[in-house]
Amino acid sequence: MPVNILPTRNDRVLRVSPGLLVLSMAGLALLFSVRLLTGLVPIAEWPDAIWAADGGDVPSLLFVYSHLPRIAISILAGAALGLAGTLLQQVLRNPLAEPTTLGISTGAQLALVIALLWQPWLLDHGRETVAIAGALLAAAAVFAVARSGQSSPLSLVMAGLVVNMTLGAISGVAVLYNHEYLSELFVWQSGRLEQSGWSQVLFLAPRLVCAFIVSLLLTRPLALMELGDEGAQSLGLRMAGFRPVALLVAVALSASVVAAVGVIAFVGLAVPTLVSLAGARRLKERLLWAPAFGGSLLWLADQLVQQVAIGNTTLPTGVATALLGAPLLLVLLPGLRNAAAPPAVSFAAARRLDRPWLAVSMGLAVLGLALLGALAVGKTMGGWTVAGVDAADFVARWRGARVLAALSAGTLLGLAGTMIQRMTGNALASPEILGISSGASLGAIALTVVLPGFGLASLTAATTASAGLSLIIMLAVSRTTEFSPQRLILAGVALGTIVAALSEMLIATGGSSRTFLLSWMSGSTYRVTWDTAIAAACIATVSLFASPLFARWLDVLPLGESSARSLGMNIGQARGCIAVACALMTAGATIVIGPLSFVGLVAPHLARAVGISRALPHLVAAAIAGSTIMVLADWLGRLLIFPWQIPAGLLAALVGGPYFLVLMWRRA
Amino acid sequence: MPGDLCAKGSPDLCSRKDRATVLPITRRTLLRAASLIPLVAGDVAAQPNAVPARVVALDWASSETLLSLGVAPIAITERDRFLSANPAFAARAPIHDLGAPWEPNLELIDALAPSIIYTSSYTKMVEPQLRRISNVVVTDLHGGRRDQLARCAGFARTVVTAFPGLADGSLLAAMEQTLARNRAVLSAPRHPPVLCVYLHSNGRFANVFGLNSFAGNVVAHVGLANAWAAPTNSNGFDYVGIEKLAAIASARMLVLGDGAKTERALKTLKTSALWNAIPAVKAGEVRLFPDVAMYGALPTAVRFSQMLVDEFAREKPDAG
Amino acid sequence: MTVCLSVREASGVCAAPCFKVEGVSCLVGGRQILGPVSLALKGPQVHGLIGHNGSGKSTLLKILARQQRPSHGSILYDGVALDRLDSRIFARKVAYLPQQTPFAPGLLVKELVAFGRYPWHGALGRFGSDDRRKVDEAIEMTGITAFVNRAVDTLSGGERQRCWLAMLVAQDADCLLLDEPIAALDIAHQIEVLSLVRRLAKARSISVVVVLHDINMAARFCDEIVALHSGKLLAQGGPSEIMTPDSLRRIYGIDMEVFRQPGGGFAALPEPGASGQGAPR
Repeated sequence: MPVNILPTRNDRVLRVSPGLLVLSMAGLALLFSVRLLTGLVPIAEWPDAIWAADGGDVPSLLFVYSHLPRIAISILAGAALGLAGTLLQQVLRNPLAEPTTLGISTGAQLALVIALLWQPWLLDHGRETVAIAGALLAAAAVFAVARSGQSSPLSLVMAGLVVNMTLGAISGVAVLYNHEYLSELFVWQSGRLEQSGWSQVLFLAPRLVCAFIVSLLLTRPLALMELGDEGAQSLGLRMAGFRPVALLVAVALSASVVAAVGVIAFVGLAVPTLVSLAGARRLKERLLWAPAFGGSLLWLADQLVQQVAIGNTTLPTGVATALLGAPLLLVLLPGLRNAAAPPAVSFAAARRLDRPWLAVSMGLAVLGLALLGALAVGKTMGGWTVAGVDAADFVARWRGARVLAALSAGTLLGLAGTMIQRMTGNALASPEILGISSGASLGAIALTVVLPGFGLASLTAATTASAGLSLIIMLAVSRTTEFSPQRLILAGVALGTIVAALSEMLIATGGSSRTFLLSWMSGSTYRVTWDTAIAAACIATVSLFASPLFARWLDVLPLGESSARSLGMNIGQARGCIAVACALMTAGATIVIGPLSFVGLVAPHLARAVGISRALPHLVAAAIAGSTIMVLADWLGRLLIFPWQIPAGLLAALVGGPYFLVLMWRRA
Repeated sequence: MPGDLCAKGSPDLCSRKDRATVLPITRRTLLRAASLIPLVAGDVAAQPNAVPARVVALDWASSETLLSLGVAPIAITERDRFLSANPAFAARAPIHDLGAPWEPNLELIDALAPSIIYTSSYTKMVEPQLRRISNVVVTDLHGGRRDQLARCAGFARTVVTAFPGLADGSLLAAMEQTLARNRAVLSAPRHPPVLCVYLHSNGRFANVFGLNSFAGNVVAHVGLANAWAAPTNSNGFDYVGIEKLAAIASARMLVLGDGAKTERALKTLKTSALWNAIPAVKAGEVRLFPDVAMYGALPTAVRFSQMLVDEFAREKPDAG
Repeated sequence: MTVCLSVREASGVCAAPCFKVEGVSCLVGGRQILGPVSLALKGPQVHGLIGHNGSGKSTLLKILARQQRPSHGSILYDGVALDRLDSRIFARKVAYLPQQTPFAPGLLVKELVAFGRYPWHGALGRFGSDDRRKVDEAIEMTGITAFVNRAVDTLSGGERQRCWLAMLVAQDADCLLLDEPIAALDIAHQIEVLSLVRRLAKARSISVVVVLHDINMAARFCDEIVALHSGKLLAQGGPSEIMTPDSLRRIYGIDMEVFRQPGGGFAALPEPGASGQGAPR
């Protein structure tokens, strides 16, 4: 998300020097480590333990092959992520750039899934190689899509977002139908640092050293990138040469980390920010301090995690960094200067329709056809069936509620997505960034822990309550800034990180609720009953009819905050109202089909691409586009791999993602 | 491979004659079937050539129980994987796949017009929908503190009662006999405690099965001590790094297998210093038990208990 | 506020809409970037706000436009405290053009101008015939009739600036606040836009406060020039009072020569050899 949260030159929010910060964290981590290690082997016997490990007793074995490599890998992984994050943020000039932004993590994950499921021999040549290959391919896809836009940082991030979504959907489907591998992948995704030897350390260390040397050599050209593409070019720097090298180093390094220990959230994102908050301004300083900072941070986090046992196990380190880091981001927010409004990433319509409502009514016709198909055409053990009027009961019983739910959720997400994109002036925005769907998921996750054998009623209650709670938190956090889009986005990112980490941990540790969580989070309409479908339809209808109330605001807000204010708009009130409306709509959709963000992102773009630009027709067209996508996805999801079913949300991302990428590629 | 890994063939308790004949299903027979079949299958099944009970099973524990008793469901979930994990049932394979266990295809179940649906709490969310299709039996075989083997046996008995002419009571009797015979055959001081694990293919993590797990119940039934005493999740297992296994001294490690995945894990671990230093590995006390389901029912319990007894009884003279 | 409205309705023009600024200062991060400043801006005339970089002229304009809150002090508009006015009522009186106008992809010129009616119809009111008339009037006055149906982002800088001015005109305010409206324009377009501003001010008897970098432009198009230095008011007066070597040195910190143009205008140029070393920082 293109938000400038980096402090400007004179801001030094943390009143500690980077050196002191690193030293104190490393010192604390060392203290914890020594405590842990002496519990295993007394200090006096450490040399013996190290030299005699192979023939020795169990404690010295654990000492040498489990604890020491764990400390080493935590430092190495943290340093590598800090370095990679700094490089990425410098090259992309985007403070929210991190390994996941570029599809590195999801690319690596998908490569591992494919290798595991279909070509296990590939793993014999090293899991790491497979993961790095996948990460590089995904990153290459991101760059290829964004290439025609002169690799501008914003189009890169946007392409990364969509590639992530698509790859995530593919591995989601693959794993959903090979769920014996499920926990393995989620373990790996939740970032556990348990070690059983030195192989990962020996794998990561040389790569980190190489990357560090290369990035030091690149310091000068990279520093010039701060001037922006034109500025750097005018100083004789050929961006075309250095950017790919720097990106390659960062991608390969973070892919190595992902391959070695899995996904460690937040370190790559936070370390560069924290380092510059601590006063390391120049790139060279940051390149030196970020690895030190990242290393000591992850070391400390990993030691802290080991102090607290949860049952018999401990919190995965990746989950812990997310849980600790995300609130930190929120705490640091007030100290960060509110930079100028983020530049809008928009798909400026190449053409503009003179009669938008004609396009809207044509869209309506397409939606009608999709509805007819979804209701009437299905499969059964004999093959294809077309339900006639006599089968009305069957259709109403099995398809009616699902189709109505898909229709309503698509409408709600299309409306909410349009509102958020117009309000924030950011085409990357989707209902998910408000943190509402994340909040709703948090409720579902909490429910699976507290009340494993829950029913639909308690699920609805829990998701509604937590969606409401996250709305309140979100509004409270951003109230002082008149609900500025940046604040909203950051709050949403923070909440989303926490939710992703928690759900990965829960899914990884198993239990009967995990498949429910998985299918709920992938946007399945399977469990929808008539009650919930009708409730969602009511919310959708009300929202649709209420949307004209917001049209004028949504027309004026893209003009920017000062213009809107000078036209007499009460910015705080308008944004607050829109945020609340979006939250209610998103919550309504999330409760029915789970935290699905793709439709909310894509439907407004579709409407714009057709050539609709005024707020009211844009809202209506996005609602139609959203519901058409959802209805089609639900229908095809029931047909494609019958009798198995692909959740509508996953399918929408699976088909919509590539479409969106092609659209970007052509347009950029 | 450290230790001698013996893959024990399972005594096939289920390869008896097949009573549930399978009719070729067409739309017409289906409709007729739907209209003819009374809710309780027994009446029809009593007549030898009548349309058989139309049973649908949505969880593997029900599926294996039904099949092992001679009642072939017309449809089960995740059919192909079930059959490859339970090759003994291939001869009487259900015709229809119902899709994922967590999202069985409701339209298809309705179209199949079953007379009874067996499922677990896994599909709790769609239970009302299932009840509108037919009778639903929700099994409760796993988790909780009560003896899981007794629950599995109890469930098998209800199947026999529900299908008097169809289910073979003698099969149930044989299974219960085996189970009873194996009860407390082994004993803790004479035989080493066992550590049941399920290895992840990367070789870094394992699921360990505690007292409350299905495997743990079988281990306790034959009289062995479970080496994993630490708390576990509600389904009785926990999920740990393999370094935790190193701390457990003098136990025999039973690697519950999952085909290629377990092979891969063992291959990776062969070169791991830590794994090779785990007491059980060092002492060659690792045994591979292929295809013991994590959520099994009576047939798996019988098979696993017999495997355990065979494994340890052989060494009786040396022990103690 | 009602006072002014009634006056306006009675006489057609607001006799003397004015800002009265009393002891206004603005702190950012503990640093005083403006003030304390006290001054009065009387209408209807064109006021030029000038000063060196960082003198606080844009901040003062933003405070007048209610885009930013002053840390201390009070501002009255037509005798009413600024923060007591409802935002839409205020927007009917005072219109503001930010320094950087957004790109607004796909927006048509006529739509942009119509947004100027927002303070009058609000979020839900009807866009009536009166609004339509005001929009047409604004389009005609600013001479953008030729491209009303084009997208704003396809226009050149000067044309775009005229469209935004048209939006402000359609807003029908008594006072226009313009933040460096000619910053990115060539000299011909600078003259074109400022002439338009002056023409509007005279034709509609409204006040304009415009932040300008170019002292010569200010001298040529403004009735009154307000000079700020390091956040403080340095001088206020007509072009003839400001355009003296002495006061220009005080404003910009360099020696300048002032020429009188035959038509009665002024032009100032840095003296040959002036190094700018004394420029305020």
